[in-house]
Order: sequence, then structure tokens, then C-alpha cells
Amino acid sequence: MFKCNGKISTRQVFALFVLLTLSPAIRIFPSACAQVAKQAAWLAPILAVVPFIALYRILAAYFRKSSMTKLSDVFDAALGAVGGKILLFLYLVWCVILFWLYIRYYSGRLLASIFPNTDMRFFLLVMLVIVFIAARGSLETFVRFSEFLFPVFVVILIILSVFLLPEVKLANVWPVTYLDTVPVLLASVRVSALWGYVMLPFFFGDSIADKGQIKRYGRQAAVLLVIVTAFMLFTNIGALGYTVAARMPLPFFSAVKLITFIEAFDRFESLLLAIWVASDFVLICFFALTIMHILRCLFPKTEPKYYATSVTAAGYIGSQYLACGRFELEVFTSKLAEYVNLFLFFAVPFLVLIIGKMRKKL
Amino acid sequence: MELKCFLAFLLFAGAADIISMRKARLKKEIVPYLVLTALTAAFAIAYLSAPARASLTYSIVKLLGLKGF
Repeated sequence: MFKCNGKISTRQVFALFVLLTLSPAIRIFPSACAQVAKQAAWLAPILAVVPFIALYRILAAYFRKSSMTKLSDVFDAALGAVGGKILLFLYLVWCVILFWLYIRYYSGRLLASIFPNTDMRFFLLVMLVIVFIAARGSLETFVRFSEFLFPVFVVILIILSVFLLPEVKLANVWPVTYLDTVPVLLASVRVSALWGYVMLPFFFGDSIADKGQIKRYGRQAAVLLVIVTAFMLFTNIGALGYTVAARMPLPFFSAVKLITFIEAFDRFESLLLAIWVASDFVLICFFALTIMHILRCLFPKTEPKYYATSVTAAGYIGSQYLACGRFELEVFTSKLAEYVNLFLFFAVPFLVLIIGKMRKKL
Repeated sequence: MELKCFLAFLLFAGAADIISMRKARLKKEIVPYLVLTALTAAFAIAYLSAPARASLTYSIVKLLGLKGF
């Protein structure tokens, strides 16, 4: 265990990042990638790793100087105090919207999978009460919980994908030719939109102890993400076929329903759902903590834990305000959220680095 | 009823937070905290007391003229 008095390590940050991308990944990637890349969808994570590598290298470049402790310091140095605060405010607004989006996705999934005809507000309240308690606690405790959950989630996901292998039909994932290059490239853009979240933990970068290790753990996270995501897509699309996967609301959940182990055990979807809810808790709590830390950067000399009340209360209203139904949520994700993610988590950091280098501040 | 419960939560949690801040001698934090809580309360009142529930996605899609609706 990394010992550094109230701080978290870069390894823990990357474990948290992998964990929080896997939950939306199993919800969004199979249908989103199958729509664009068809039977070659499982190759999308391999291409998506290129912008991810570029992003963690940009982050490593930001924190080369010891005076840069968190992203708000980097923005202030590169863009000036006013420009930095404006950019920080943009990130705040977008993180609030993503916070609402993931609360809504969590409750929508429970309604769609096992609790139809239940009032959605019940799930919202249960989750937000737990998030409120966690967000008021220490960041270190939350990250350690994520570190504990991370191998559990990855191992269960791999086991379920391995159990799905007998259901895979080769005709569903093959042939892959050079004609699939452009569709796979387009599908990889949708994968990259999620992997950009690696930037967000650095809004509380002053709590991260060894930022010099970003490249090392970034490399490991990239390898793990590519393997797990590509394998999950391969088995999912291989079992269902791309036409079915593209039209289903929860393709991986439906594929897991097909699993029968030695013709005696089935119903593995309950296991998936249990870890999925835990992973959603980590994702929602992470966004709440990120918002609270961005607020602390905007209002200096304040304690982030006091913002937990407003942030979680606004999450309850905002998640209902965001969309009227699942159709609107999907439109929001595919028509808007992915492009804003790409802009804010890839284009903006690159521009900030260029401006910072030109002004010789980074 | 939902709005009343929501405002009651904000009031009690807010009072507890302010007492805690005063005990910890964090008086500078009270103003941004109150501003944020007031904004949250205004948001809740605007959304929950409206005759028809609005949708942010619908407003954005219409505003940007995106296809899909």
C-alpha cells in the first residue's frame, strides 16, 4: 500500500480511472461501436488507445514542474488568471452535466433491466444519499474503496466474457478487411470520448503524491483498457451479432443472459448487475468529488466537503431535468456529449499545452 | 410535496453545515456556500413547480438545430 499521509498515488488514480470508464463502456460501447464498425467493432479500442496515450503524455508534460500541483494551476499559468478561471468554469459546467447524465443512466438501467414500473426517483434518492455520505468523507477513503473494487470488477468482467466465448459465432466478428479501416476509426472516436476522463482526477492533483509516474501507470492502464474492452466487445458482438447489438439498449447485459455454465448454472446477469451498480456509485461519486474540487479552485481557501450538500441535491433535480426518457439520453450522448468530451478532454488540453509552451510557462 | 421535502433537506443540511463551519472558524466559506445553496434551491423551485417538466436535452437539440428528434 502506498503510504504518503493523506495523499493518493498515481497508481490509485489510474485504477480509479479504469474502473469508472468500464461502467459506461459496457453500456455504450457495444451498441455505439456496432452501429458504425459492424463486425469489426471489437477493433475500435485498439485505435482509440492512440489519443489516450497522447493525453496522458500531455498530462505528464503539465506536471513536469513541481510548482504545478493541479489542473487549475496549469490553466492559470498557460492562459492567465482570467482565461484559466473561464476554462475552469467550462469544465465545471460540463462535469455537472456529466454528473446528471450518469445518475440518470444508472437509474434508467435499473428500470430497464430488473425493476420496470418502479418510480425512478427511488433509485435516485438511494444513490444520492450514499454519494452524499461518501463525498463528505475523505478522498483517500473513496479512492481506496475504488482500488479494492477495481480488480473485482475487471476479473468478473473477464470471467463473464470468457463464459461467453462458446456463444461466439465467428461469422459475427469476421471477416475484417481494409474496407473496415474508416468505420473502425469512426467507432474508435466514440471510445476515445470516454477515455478522456483520465484528465479529471488531476483537478484534485494536489492530493496526488507521485505525479512523475503518470507515463508509467498510463501505459499500464492503456494496455489493460485495450485488452478488457476489445475482449468484451469481441465476445458481446460475437454472441449477439452486430445488427442485434446495435439495436439493443443493454447489449452486454443481454449477452450475459445467454451464458449457461456446464448446463447447470445460469442467471449470471445478477452478478453483472451487482458490480455494475457498485461501479456506477464510484462513477457518480467521482464526478461529485471532481465538481467539489473545481468549486474549491474557483472559490479559493474553501473546504470542498461543504459543497457536497448542494452538489448532490442539484444532482437529484438535474438528473430529472436532463432528459425525459431513455431516447433523449441516447440522443444527448451520441449527438452532443461525445463531441464535447472530445473537445474538452483532448483538443483543449493540447491547446493549453501549446499555449503554455509558447508562453514558456509550462 | 417533493419540493417541500427537498427544500427542508437543503434547510437542515445547510444549517448543520453553517454551524459546523462557524465551529471550525471557516467564516469565509459561508458566503459561497450560501450562494450555491440558494442557486440549488432556485433550480429546484423552477423545475419542480413548473406546470410541465422541461428537458435540457430537448432544449439543446432544438437550440442547435440537431437532427434526431
